[in-house]
Amino acid sequence: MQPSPFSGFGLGMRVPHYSAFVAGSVPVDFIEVISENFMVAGGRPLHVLDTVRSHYPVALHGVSMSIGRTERLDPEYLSRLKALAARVDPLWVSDHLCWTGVAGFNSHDLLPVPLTEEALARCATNILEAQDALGRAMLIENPSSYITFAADHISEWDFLVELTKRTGCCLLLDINNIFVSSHNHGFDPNTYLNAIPTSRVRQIHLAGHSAGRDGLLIDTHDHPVPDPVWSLYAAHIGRFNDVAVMIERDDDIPPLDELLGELDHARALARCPTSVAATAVASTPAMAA
Amino acid sequence: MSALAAVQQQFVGWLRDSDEGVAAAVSPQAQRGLPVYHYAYRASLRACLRETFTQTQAWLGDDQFDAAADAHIAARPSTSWTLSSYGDGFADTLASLYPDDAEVPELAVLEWAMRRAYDGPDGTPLSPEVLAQIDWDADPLAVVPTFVQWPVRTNADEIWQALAAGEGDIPAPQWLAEPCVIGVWRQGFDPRFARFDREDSRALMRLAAGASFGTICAELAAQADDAEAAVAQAASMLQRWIAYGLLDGATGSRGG
Repeated sequence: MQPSPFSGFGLGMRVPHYSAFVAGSVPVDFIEVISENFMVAGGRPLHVLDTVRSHYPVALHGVSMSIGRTERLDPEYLSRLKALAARVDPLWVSDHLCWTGVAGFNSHDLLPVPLTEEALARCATNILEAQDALGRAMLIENPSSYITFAADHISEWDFLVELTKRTGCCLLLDINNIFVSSHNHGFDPNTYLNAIPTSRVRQIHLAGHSAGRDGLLIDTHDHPVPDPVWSLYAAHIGRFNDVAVMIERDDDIPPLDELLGELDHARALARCPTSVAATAVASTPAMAA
Repeated sequence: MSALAAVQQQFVGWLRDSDEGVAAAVSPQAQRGLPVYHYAYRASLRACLRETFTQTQAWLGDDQFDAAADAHIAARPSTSWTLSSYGDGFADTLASLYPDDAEVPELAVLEWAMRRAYDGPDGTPLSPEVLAQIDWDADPLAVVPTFVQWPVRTNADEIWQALAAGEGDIPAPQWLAEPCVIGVWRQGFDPRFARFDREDSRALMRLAAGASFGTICAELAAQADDAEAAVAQAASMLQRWIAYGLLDGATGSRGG
């Protein structure tokens, strides 16, 4: 069963701001937590989560499911995630279009999936297994990527859309990741966003990035949302009804007021979205593909 | 092997050993992105070790700690879905790197045990009502589920305490004069540790196995010349276990 749409503006809950969320004093419509941080036996993390859940709807966002790996998913991981979801009754459970390791090795990174039919079939099989184990449809998020494979023959947006068709999953669109990957691989981010069926999108991430070496952009989540990402969001948010929008900040975490200011900006842009044509400048100059 | 499996194996080789085999699978103009993943893999594991072994890092210094972390990363790839497991075995790496500095791995063992206790299983609070109803002669006592203990040879616990308190006067590493055991557990939400002598440690092991306090008293008395002193010692232990939050509320509930 697909998760019901939820319309609102939220933040990712990170350690420096736990006390404010526990107090229930943060003016947000929902929060998102990293699932793995709470897939533990007990102690303070689960107490914090139970308390914030009494104040806010919670989305579970995972980084370790590894739907792109060539092996079956880790049953212990699925079992723990299912137990967490039963405890939290989340808005939804999400993870990334990526793999994290194989054959007993784990990189703890969101590694890129070759955009091939074989990988598409593998991802679909793993998503179906996860959804079956969890008893709910998942949200799959587009990651940032820094390489493309020689065998790639499907665009990332078509890959995601096909996954929704084969598995019934929904999508978590990370606007920053689309921008970063479009810069790194030389495609038009508007083409990407225009290809996504809005009825499948339940959540949007907004985040910042950093300039890496060799002209690459790196998805560091350690800066405020930059203007090009805001422009891309403003150009497309008008197409999405009933979507949960979130500021995702994972490093160099600023005071809560700064993040709430960014969230206010996201609200304002959603009230007065601009047209895609007016913000075609949001596209980065295409790099040599 | 499928094309996908082959490229994933090559990619893992690149992450672990900079194996260039994966470069052939990546589009030529995209090869500049490979080092991003190589760097991120090491950075996340190193950050995990720094976060887990804060005082071990303070004791060794940043450069020595990072060198040890890099040696550990090279020798032991992460195998769990959770990064929080990666500290397991770091003390062994330190023991091999610092064979003449026993306090170094002992610091790491202590920090790892506290990390595990932090989000280990919850116990049952020991209420005054439960305490009042215990049949001390017959009821098995229960120890909180996060409790672990192990023998130590150095004053690593004192070093940890001073480092954590930010004290300028850090004790020099020393061999302990008497054999000793360190126990770690969680009281409420906070990991704690304490030294236990041989009798205390043995009694706690017996409790964990389901012994009653009466059994503990009888065993201490049987080993002692002065039975009354042994019972007084047992009473003192019990007082300490309760004060430390070592007894679980499941005490007495397993039947006699």
